[in-house]
Amino acid sequence: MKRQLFGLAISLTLPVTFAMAQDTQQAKPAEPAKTEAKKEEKKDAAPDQAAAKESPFTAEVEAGGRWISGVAGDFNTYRSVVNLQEGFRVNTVQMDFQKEGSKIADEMHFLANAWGDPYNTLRFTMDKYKVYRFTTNYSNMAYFNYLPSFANPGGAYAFNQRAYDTQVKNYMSELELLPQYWVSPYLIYERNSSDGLGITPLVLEGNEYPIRNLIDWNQVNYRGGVRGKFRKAFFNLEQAWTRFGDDQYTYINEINTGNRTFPYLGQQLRLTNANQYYSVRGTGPITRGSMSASPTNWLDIYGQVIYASPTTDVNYSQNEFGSIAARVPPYLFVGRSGAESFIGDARRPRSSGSFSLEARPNQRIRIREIFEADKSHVSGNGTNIVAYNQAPGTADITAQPPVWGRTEVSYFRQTVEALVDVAPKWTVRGGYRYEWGDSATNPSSTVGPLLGLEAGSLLRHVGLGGVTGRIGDKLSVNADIEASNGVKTYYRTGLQDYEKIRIQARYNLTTSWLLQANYSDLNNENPAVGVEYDFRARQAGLSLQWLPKGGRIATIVADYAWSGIRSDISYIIPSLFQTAQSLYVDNAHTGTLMADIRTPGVYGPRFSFGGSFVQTGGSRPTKYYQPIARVTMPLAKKFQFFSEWRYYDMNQTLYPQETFRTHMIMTGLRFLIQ
Amino acid sequence: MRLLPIVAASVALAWAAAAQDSKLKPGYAGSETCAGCHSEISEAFVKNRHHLVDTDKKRGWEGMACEGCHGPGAKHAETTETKDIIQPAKLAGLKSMQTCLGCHTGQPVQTAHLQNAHSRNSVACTSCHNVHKTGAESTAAIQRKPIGVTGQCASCHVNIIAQFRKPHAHRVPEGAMACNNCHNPHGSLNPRNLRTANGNDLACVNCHADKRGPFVYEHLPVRNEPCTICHEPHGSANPRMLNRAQVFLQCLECHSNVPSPSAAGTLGGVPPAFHDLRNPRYKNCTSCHQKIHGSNVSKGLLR
Repeated sequence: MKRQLFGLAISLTLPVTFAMAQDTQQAKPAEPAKTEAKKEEKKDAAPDQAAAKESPFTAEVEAGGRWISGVAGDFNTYRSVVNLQEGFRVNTVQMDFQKEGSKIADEMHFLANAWGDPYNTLRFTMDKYKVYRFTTNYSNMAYFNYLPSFANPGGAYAFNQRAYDTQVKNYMSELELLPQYWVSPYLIYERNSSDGLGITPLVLEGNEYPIRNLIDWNQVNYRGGVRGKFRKAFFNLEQAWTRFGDDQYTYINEINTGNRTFPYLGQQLRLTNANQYYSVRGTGPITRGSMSASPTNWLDIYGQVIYASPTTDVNYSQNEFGSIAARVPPYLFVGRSGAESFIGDARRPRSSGSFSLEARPNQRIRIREIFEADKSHVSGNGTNIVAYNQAPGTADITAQPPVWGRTEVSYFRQTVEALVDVAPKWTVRGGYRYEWGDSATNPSSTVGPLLGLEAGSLLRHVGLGGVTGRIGDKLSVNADIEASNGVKTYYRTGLQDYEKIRIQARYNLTTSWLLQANYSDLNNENPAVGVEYDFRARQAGLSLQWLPKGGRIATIVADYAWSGIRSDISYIIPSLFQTAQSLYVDNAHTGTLMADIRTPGVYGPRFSFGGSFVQTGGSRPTKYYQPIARVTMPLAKKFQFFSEWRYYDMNQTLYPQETFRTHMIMTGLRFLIQ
Repeated sequence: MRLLPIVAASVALAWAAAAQDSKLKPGYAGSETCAGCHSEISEAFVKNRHHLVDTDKKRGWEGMACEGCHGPGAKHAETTETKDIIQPAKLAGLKSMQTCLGCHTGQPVQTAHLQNAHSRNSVACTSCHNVHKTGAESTAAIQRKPIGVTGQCASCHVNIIAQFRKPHAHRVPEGAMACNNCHNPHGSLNPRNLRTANGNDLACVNCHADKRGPFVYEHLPVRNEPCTICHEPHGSANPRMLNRAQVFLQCLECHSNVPSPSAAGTLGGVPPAFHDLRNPRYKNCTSCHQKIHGSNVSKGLLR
C-alpha cells in the first residue's frame, strides 16, 4: 500500500513538476511575450502604414535640353576629350519593382543613363526567387580621336593620320536558372563591336599615304555552364564558344602624294587609286572550371583552370595605282601599280590556372599558399603574294616572302604568405613570391630578317610585407610593402629591382567628418650595362568628407591628389646608332570638390557645386578645368526642375593648337513616381 | 517495474514540452526577439536578399538570420549590452570577413579570394556592402549604377580616381564605366584584381576584342606583358593613354638592344631602319607600324 501510494505520488508530481517548469519557461518570456505583444501591435500597425506609403513600383526620369556656347579653340580636340553635343538628352531613367510573391518577377530594375550622349548605358535585371535571375547590360561609347600632336607627319599641318570616329558597343545578357538552389545552370551571350570611320596610312615602299578607313569588327561569345553552391563548397563548370569578324576596308580615289616630301629615284611618288580589304574570321572554344571548398573549419582551398584556343583565318587583298616604288626586291624601280594578297591563319592555345589555400592553425595565424600558371603559344602561317607592275606591256613581277610565325610564352607565380593577428585589431603579414617565365619569338615574326630568334626570360624574387590595424574605433591604418631583387626581366623598361610601398589611413574625426589619406611609391631600377633604367612613380591623396546629420542637410567632399612620374633611360637612334636620353617627367596636381546643400522645407531648392581641376607639368604640361554648378527646385511633391552649368577648359603648353574652352547649360525636369 | 510505465510517460511529457523550443539553438534568441528592439532594421531586412536565410529551412538558420552574423543573441536580449553581441562592422578586417565568408565562400566571385589585394589588406566586406540599409542606400541600389560603384572605390582609392580627371581617360567619371568593369574587387586570376575576358585574356579585350588576336605576326609585349606596358588605363595627359608623351620614345625605350637580346637578356632589337627622328614623319612609329598590337599580313606590323 505504501509503495502504491509512493508510486502514485511520483506519477502525479513528475508531470506537475515538468508542467510547472514549462509554465516557468513560458513565464520566463513573459517580458518577451509582452514585447511580442507590442511587436505584434507594431507589426499589425506597421504593414498598414507601410502599405499606405510604400508602393512596389518606383521610377525616376530626368531629361532636358543641353545648349553649348560654342567651342573656342580646336573643335576636334574638344571632341577627342569631351564630345558632348547640344540637343535633347535623357539623363536618367530608373524603374524599380520589388514585391515578393509576384507572378512574373519578385524584383525588376531598369536603369538607363545618358541617352542621346556619346556614352550611354542600359542595365536591366529581373529576379524571381528560386526560379531565375536575368541580367542585361548594354553600353554604347563613342570613340573620337583626332589630335594632330599624336600623328602629324606633315609637321606644320594640323592633320592626324591615325584618327578614329567610331562607336564601341558592348552587350551582355545572362540567364541563371534556380539561383538559390544548390545547382543552377546559366547561359550568357556577349557581343563587343566597333564600327565607324577613321584615317590610317597605307604603307608602301618609300612612302605612306593617309587614306579613309572603314572600321567594322565584332566578337560574340556564347557561354553556358552550371554552378554548384553547397554549404562548404562551390564549383563552376563553363563551356563557351567565341566568334570574331573583322572587315576593315581602306580606300582612296583621288591623288595623294603621301608623307614623302622628296623624290624617290628622281620621281615623285603618288597614289591615284588604292584599296585594302581585310577579312578576318576567328573562332575558338573556351573551357573554364573553378572551385572553392572549406573541408574543415581551419582550411579553405580554391582553384580555377581556363583553357582557350582561338583561331584566326585571314583573307587580305590590296591594290594600288599611281607612281609607286617597287614592291619587290631590289626596290629600285618606280612603276604603275601593285597588288598584294594574303591567305593565312593563326592559332593560340592557352592554358591558365591557379590553386590557392588558406590554413588557419589557430585563431591568430593564417598561412596562404598561391600558385598561378599561364602557358600559350601562337603559330601562324599563310601564303603571301606581292605583284608589281613596272611599265605598260610588261609582265608583273611577283614575290612570295616567307610567312611563318611562332611565339611562345609561359609565366608562373608562387606565393606563400603568413598573416598573424598580433593584437585584437592588428594584423601583420609577411611572405615571399617567386615569379618566372620564358618568351620566344621566331625569325619570321620579327621586324627584319637580320635578327635571329628572340628569346627572353623572367625571374623575380619578391618579398612581401604589410600591417593592418585600428587605433580605437576612429582610426584605421593599412600599409603594404613589396621589394624585389629581379634577376631577369623581359624588357628594358620592365620591373627589375624595385620597391613598392603603399600606405592608407582613414580617420573618422566625428560622426560627420571623415578624413582619408593615402601614399604610394614605386621605385624601379635596372642597372645592367646597356639598360641603366631609373624609374620612380609616387602618388599622394587626401580626401575630406563632411556629412552633417548623415548627409540630410549637406554633403561636402573634397579631394586632392598629387602624382609624380620620372623615367630616365637611354635609347639608340636607329639611323645613327647613337645613344640618346629619354627622360619622361609628369607632375600632376588634381583636385575635386563636390558640395551638395539642401535647403529646409519640402519645396526648398537644392544646390550643388564644385568640379575638378588637373594641372600637369613635365613632358606634356596640361591644364584641364571642369567646374560644375547645379540647382534643383521641387515644383511639386514628385516633380523637380533642374538647371546645370558646366565649363570645360583645356590648355596644353607645348601644343597650343590643341586647346578648347566651352560653356554648357542643361535644363530639364525630373519626375519621381512612387 | 510497476513504476516504469509511469516514469516513461512523465519523461515523454517533459520531452514534448522541451521540443517546442528546439528550433532555436542554445543561446540564440531568434529574429523575432531582435525585432522587438531593432524594429526599423528588421523591417528593412525583409527587403534584403539575406532575408532568405531567415525563411529557408535548408540553410540551418531559419528564424535566426540576425544571429547568423551577429552571433548568439539571447544574452544580449537580456542585458541589451553591446558587448554581448558581435558587431561585424566593428571587428578587425579578417574576422569581419570570416563572418561573411562563412556562407559566401561558395560563390563565383570568391574563387580568387586569396589573390585579392583587399583580402590581403584585411579590407572588410562591410567596407563596400551593407545588409541593413534599404531603398536608395542599399548596396544593391548603389552598385546598380556605375557611378555608385566608382564612388565606393573612390572613398579609399583617392589617387587612382584622380587620374580619371586627366583629359585622356576611360569614361569612368561620366558614369559610362565603373571600376568593376575592369577589376574584380573580390579577386582575380590576374594581378591587380584585373578581370579575365574571353577566357583567360585580360579585361581589356572585353571591349577591345580586336586586339585579342591571335595574329600571324605577334608583337611580343602584347603577349608576355599586360597592356600597361604601353598604356596608362586610368588616365593620362598623353593621347591614347600612352605612358610617354612622344610615341617614338615609347617604342625606342625597348627597341634599343644591340645585340638583341642584349647582355642583360632584354628583348627588343634596334630596327634596321634609316628613320631620321628629326623629321616629323618618323616621330610616331605607329603612323607606319599601325598594326602595333599584331598583324595578320606584315611582319613589320605595317598592315
